[in-house]
Amino acid sequence: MTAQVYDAAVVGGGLVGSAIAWGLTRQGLAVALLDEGDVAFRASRGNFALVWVQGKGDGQPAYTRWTRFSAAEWPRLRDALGEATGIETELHQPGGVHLCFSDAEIEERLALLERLRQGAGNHGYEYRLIQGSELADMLPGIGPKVIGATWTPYDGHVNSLKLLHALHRAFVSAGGRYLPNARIAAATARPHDFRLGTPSGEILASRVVLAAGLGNRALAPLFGLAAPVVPNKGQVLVTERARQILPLPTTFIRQTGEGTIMLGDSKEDAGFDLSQSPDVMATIAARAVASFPWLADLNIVRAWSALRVMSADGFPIYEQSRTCPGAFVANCHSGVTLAAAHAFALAPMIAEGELDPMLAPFTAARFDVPAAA
Amino acid sequence: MTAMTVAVVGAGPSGTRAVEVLVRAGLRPVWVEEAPATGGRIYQRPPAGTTRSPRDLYGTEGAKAEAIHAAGDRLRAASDWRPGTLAWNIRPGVLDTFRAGRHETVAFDRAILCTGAMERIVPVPGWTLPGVFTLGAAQIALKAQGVAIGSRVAFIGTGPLLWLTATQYLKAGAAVALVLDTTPLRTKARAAAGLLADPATFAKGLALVARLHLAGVRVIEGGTPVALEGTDAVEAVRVRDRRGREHRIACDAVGLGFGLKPESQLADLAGVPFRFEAIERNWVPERDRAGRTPVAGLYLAGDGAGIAGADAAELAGARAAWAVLEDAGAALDAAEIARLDRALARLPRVRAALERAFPYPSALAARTPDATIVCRCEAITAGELRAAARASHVTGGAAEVNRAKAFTRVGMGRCQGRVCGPPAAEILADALGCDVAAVGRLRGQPPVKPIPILAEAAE
Repeated sequence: MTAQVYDAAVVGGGLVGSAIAWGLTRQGLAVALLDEGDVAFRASRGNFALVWVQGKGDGQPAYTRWTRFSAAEWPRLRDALGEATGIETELHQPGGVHLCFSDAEIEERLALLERLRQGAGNHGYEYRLIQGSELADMLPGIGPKVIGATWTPYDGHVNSLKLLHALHRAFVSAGGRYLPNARIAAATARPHDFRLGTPSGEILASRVVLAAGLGNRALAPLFGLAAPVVPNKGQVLVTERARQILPLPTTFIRQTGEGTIMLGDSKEDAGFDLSQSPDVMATIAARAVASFPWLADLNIVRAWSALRVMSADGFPIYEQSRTCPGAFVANCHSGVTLAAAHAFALAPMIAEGELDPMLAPFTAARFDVPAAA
Repeated sequence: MTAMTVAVVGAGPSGTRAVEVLVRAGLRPVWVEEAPATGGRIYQRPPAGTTRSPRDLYGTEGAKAEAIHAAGDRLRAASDWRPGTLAWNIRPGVLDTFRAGRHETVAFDRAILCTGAMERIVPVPGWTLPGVFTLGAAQIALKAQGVAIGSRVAFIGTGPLLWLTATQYLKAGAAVALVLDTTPLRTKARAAAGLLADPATFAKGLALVARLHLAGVRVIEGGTPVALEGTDAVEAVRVRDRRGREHRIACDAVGLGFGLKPESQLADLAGVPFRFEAIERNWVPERDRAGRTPVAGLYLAGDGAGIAGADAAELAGARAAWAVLEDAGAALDAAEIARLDRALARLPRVRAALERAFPYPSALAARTPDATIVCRCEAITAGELRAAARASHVTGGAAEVNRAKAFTRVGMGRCQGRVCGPPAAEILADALGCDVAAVGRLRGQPPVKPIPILAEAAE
């Protein structure tokens, strides 16, 4: 088998890899997207599909900015994907709410949002506490146990299955080469010279982007990189269809375009959490019914768990290899929210061969334990 | 050993015989059944106060039904009997169940899944009209409720259940407008040699057909259903006979069914590997002849482990229980196990002949017209599935049913693909020009069937 030569090889065909790969083709690069088998339970098919800003970036203003940027670019992403593929990704960005059940929770939430506002500096960070009749008007059927909700205008949700489908289609129609079942069996890495052995032949590329989610952990060291990420189990329940009733998404409950209601234990803003209780489903259901008592009348038709890709501080990892320039790593647990940033900002940086200093806080070096004195 | 908790899911022929062996060995198994009573679908009990005799209700199988019911009645008290209980998920050592408005977990050391079968359909245009039932539903209406699905019923499909149900309707006094078997007579004749290995069953089958002919019922063998027609409900069926002539036959109800498939979702959720059984044209969970699966502590018996019929289910249920006892180091009855093994060994030949006699009409399913709904929960048409197959060529992806699910929502609704899965796979495979086994199967997700979000959960 003769080797195939590309400007860039992206390893991982989930949301992160597909967005980057599509972005690279838009920069005029010849790109191969190496996907593993089409495993139904990959994170990109198991997520909660929020485009979410509220609460993100505590202690890391660069992450708040990156997330805000992506959410703001999402309408452009929707339009570009729609134009390229005819697929409607169903973006709705009416803002989002986080429901609070106690005064302490409200206080804690407001303190968090205030820290984020201060971190945002002159970018500003709009948020509001909504209570009483205003809350009842905003969210029909809200339960009496919900005593308040924090609202930010940046948030929304999409159909993430359609997003993944659209990214694949857009990538291929832009001339990209999608290679399924292309698990990396061997790799040699030299600066700007990478050889990847796959079941469908050898791939040669001057750039390689590792976007294999949890798989990055094993792949990164082959390229002089590190990806200290761990799985974090998330659970999602889906109800039967109901009439459209929820006008905007909350952190744990959202209504899809089809009318089904998704209930999750979203860790979008919670950072690192490995707790896994067998009663997770019951907990999710209980919180959902406490939020909206009318949910008790609906049946659960489907449930699944998927593994989030979590770093120790919950923030992404973006880095170019120092020993093998041309090799990049990209890891995050918000592939939906960050899809626009990955396609429109990260991909051009990779095409240029240099990551912008705005991404400097996201190198894996931040996890290095200082040698004991 | 006495401390061992064995869970048996299902109280049909296999579950009942499994519990019987376990109880006799001194165990008190947890016995979970979705229905209110033992008997399973095949020997489903009539409502209280019914006056029809077992012979009337179950035909030639009346004695077997009575024996299974009697065993069930005896065993309820000797087990932790949980009727009306849906086992909606399985985790290592735990069943998640729903019973009388409450969620309960059932811990087990070993479990025997006797989850039975359900019907396969072909999405004949009009199949979603009111008045169209599966054959099994038509039969249960008669057995369990004492009502017919209509006063002038057309039966369409293939398999022993087609002929059996039509005969039962005839016997109950309903007008049978049509029996259309998609399998040509010559296919059945060719399989007859194999069927003769079980002369009793073969004779029963012939008697059913003869009875319908004698009653003057319109019978079409080797025919093709074209459409089920009607505005608010089914009013007529349009069919083609073997020579291609079209007929329109008035009716007010249709029984539709094309063989059975295992209800294997719990085995799937437990992580049992599946293989495609080409003759049966079903995905079946892997197990050895005694019912052991590759998952430690998990056993399968009856039609849920591959379609073999009620008699085989009784044997398999008992055998799986013996496998449980054997693996736990209990005392065994070697002669009894040998008897079961010999009886089970005779079955595959008859079963294969039956499947050859009544094959799933895969070509008919594959040719489902573009506008016809395949997945009725999500309203996905055959045309949308074909478009998804073309799209996956574009992305170069190896087309596969779970991918089609992600693209189209086929199988995402209430039935979770239990109904639409097989025809969807046939349509995809045909559109892609590959074998149906190559497009795979829809993987299971809990809950096995819809469960309410509990009001109590709000506490």
